[in-house]
Amino acid sequence: MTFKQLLSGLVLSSSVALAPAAFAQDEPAADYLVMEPNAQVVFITTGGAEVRADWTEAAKTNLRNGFDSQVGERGHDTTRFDESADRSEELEQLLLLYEVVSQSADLRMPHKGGEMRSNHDITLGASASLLSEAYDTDYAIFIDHYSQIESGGVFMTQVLVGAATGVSIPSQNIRLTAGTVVDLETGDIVDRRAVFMGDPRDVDESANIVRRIMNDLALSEAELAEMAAAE
Amino acid sequence: MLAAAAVSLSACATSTDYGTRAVGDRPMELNTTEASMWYQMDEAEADLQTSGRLVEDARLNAYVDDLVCRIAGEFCSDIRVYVVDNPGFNAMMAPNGMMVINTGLLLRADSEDELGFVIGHELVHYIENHALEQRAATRNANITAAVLSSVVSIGIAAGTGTMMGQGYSGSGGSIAAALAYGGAFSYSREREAEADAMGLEMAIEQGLDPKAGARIWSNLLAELEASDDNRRADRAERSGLFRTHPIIRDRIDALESQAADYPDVEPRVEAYDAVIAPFIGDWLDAQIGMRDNGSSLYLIDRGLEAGRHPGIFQAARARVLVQRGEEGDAEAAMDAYRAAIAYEDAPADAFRDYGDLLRRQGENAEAAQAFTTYLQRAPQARDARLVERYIENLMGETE
Repeated sequence: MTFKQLLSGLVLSSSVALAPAAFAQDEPAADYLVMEPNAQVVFITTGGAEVRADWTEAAKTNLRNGFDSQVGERGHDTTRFDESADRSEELEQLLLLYEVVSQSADLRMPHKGGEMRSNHDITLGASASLLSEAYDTDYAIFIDHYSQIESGGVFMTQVLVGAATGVSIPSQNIRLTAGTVVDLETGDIVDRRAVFMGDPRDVDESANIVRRIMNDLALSEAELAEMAAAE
Repeated sequence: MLAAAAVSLSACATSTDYGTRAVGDRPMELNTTEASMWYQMDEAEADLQTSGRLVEDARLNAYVDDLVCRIAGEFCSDIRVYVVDNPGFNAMMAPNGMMVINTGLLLRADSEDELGFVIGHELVHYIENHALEQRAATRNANITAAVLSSVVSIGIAAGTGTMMGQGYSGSGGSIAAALAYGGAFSYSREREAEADAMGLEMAIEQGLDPKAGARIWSNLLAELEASDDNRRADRAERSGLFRTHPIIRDRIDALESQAADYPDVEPRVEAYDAVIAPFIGDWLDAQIGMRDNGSSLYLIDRGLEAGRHPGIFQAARARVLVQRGEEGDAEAAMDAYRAAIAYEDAPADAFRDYGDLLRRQGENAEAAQAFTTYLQRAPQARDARLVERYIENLMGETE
């Protein structure tokens, strides 16, 4: 997941993340499959940019644990996607399809009648049932994250050059996380939320990132309807 | 302050000598640059495995795997080879042990020896940690450029006494950066020359033809010179500060000189050709699809001169001429199709395409005959119904 792929999440977040925070607690429990996060934590130094393996692994672990526990706190059962298990070619294709859907879902583009809106009608289609059959779950939660973290050397260079020339060099720090709920019977996106900021390498900060997403994320069509009614 | 900045940033510079790899080496600490490269390459490899771009023919893969293992020796267990459906002349070795070989390379190699030389070249990049060393050189160049740019900017601003010296500092910083990156590119060229020399030695140790390295580069040089694409043609002789690879002519000279110390070896042409023969038609189609007619014609004429698969190469020649469409190409294409279909190995498509040209020229009886032969050779063709209709119409008009 690159920043470009997640960038569209910024639009989504700023446009609809103002929904009411609380969801009804009497919603029937469902089974959720927590997918392996699609994450990348890039370290920007004066020597260049590199994906930090240790930071990326920490971010994946923390975000996966965060969604697992917080979906459970909303009264649902969770199962973790087994990244190490052998996959059929069809399942591989489904996971690739999600990446494309994820990139496209938040793109705001003109629709019929000139309306500008995101593509949340886009769907994984019936093949999503491969996941429900393999894990016996109703929904899947996909997690996308992209971070760029500047080194002290980069910051110092920005300050020195900025002070000398008067040209302000913008910070390269970026942190963006998105959570997407997919109905595994239909393949449709139930809801998708993205938030800025937060350091997923840290357990507590990561939990806070997930909490901010979960605060607005409808986990089912019923919750989505409830959210729409409250708006 | 300037000195402090320079010293602190320069302290980030790293050694560019990673030495030689040991069998089974894998970074144990995840917070290193090497781990970062492995991590990204592991992800790229997983993507490649599900990309649908791999050539999965068992015989071809077994042949290439075996050749790689023979040349890699003890490193065989580290390497995973992927033959990728890509018409470009290229092979790539990643630091995690992923080797990618393009079908465009297999098409251009004339023998096992030439492929073996390229494999040796790529294995040297792996064994000698060239990717890591190049990453370190680039990193150091970035740091040097940042330090010099900062120092120059601050110095000029201080000298002018205002912040308005930014135009000067910008050009001063650019020159500093150019010098820094020039060093990194020079380092890259040295690694490529080293890979050529050591790779050829590895291939020779396995009994392969010492002249294979110079030969495949000579053929590529001639192809680049024949290219319609000015950027590709420029690559043939271009020199400059920012090239990552040595001039091809220099590489050929060095490899010829190196090969002169060894006795001649008969190139393994037939065994290699037997493995790639089933794919040559498709690979030529992909090459023609690149729309670099000059390169394609050079490749095809080289194949025809070698006398292998004349029906396939003549049909490919005809397709390039039709695609190019210059004066006289239509007639030349007809001649090439006539030549192609006279050979047993002419692809079925050649009869259809020849028939289509004849149909356009009003040669109905001959066109119908060519289409009929096409359907006999490819009864399950997806366009069979369309071609049947053509034949019916042509026969009607003939009668």
